[in-house]
Amino acid sequence: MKNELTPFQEALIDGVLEAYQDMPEDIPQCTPSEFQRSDIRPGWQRRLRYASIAALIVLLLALAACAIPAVRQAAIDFFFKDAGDHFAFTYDPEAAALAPRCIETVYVPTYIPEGFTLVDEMTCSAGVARYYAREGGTPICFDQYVIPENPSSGEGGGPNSEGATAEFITLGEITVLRTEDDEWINYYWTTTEYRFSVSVNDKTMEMELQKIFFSIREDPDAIPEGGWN
Amino acid sequence: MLLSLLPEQAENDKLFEWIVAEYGGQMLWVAGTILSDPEDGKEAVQEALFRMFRNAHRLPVEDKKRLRAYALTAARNAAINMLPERKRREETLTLDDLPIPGEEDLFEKVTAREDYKSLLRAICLLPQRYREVLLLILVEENTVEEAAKLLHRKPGTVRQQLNRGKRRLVEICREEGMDFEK
Repeated sequence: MKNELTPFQEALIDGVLEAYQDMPEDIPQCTPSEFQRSDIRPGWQRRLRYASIAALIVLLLALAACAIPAVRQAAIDFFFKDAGDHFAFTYDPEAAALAPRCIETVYVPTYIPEGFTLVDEMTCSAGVARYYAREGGTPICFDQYVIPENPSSGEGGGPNSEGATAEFITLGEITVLRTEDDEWINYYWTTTEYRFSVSVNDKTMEMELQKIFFSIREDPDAIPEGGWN
Repeated sequence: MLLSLLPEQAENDKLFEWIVAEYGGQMLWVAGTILSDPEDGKEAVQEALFRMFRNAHRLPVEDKKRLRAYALTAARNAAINMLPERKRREETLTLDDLPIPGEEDLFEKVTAREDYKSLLRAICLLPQRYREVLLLILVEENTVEEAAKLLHRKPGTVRQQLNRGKRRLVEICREEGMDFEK
């Protein structure tokens, strides 16, 4: 942590605090007991209303997995719930416990539609991302992440669920969650090691999205560097 | 367990208690100005604290002003994330967001200035969402991914806002007549 700040950094801190200049000076203090220091996510109880939906999906998934043994062997079961404005995911804890805690093998799409170029990328211990775009701005996003350390906690930042539909589809032997909103089509799936997503914001490109899905291969030359911890 | 993620559990427990006592009320106020329900506000602050302590090693504990900016930013974004009507659609990546040659140099010149007052005036003209990204990455040295988690945004969005924030600041400095291009 830097102790010596530049004038720019000082100005940046004050600039952020400027937004709170209307804050009253006599705000009462809180006691630590009002908040919990644990991994129980806030609002968990309130979100129990989604539990019935999740339970139904668990049942359907279990039935599907029994019907297609290959899926059971090829992927970590995951479940999703509508967290109000995004889809949150949970994972089979026993299988997730065996998954790598950092990216050991990097996967990337080997097919990208004509006209698209790589505009942003990340390869670190926590995840792999590749963003492609073409003139006009239509992006394709590919992400590979580790399965969360606490597989029972819903992760934020999933695809938008407002006005979105969600359904499981089967591509090859993999069960894929397909979500669609006004702008995006997202595929989300797991293997025994990682979770993946690929998204496109052009509704006419779903066939291309599937080609990208089937083209994902290990990149033996890619080395994850650094992480976010 | 969250606690197991933290290297110095006892120290972090004390830090947690201190931050709640020192900034919990202010965080509740910030969340309350965004959310109408006090229970929602409390939930947002709980979420903000959760995210702050996932990255406890990044907390600027030695500087109260920095820590206050960090905590209030976490609370504001946790509250925004809870707005039911909020549109969370990600701003799309466009070729427009690719860095322009020379732009980074100009930004370096802006940040190298020592005129605090004119810098503050320019920064205050930036939208708050850009200020927050610049704060977390350029002051607190968070990675894009860490900042994204604290701000409830996708890494791609944060990258984009970082680029746009830098570019917009250069534009504002130009508009304000700052002579930094020599």
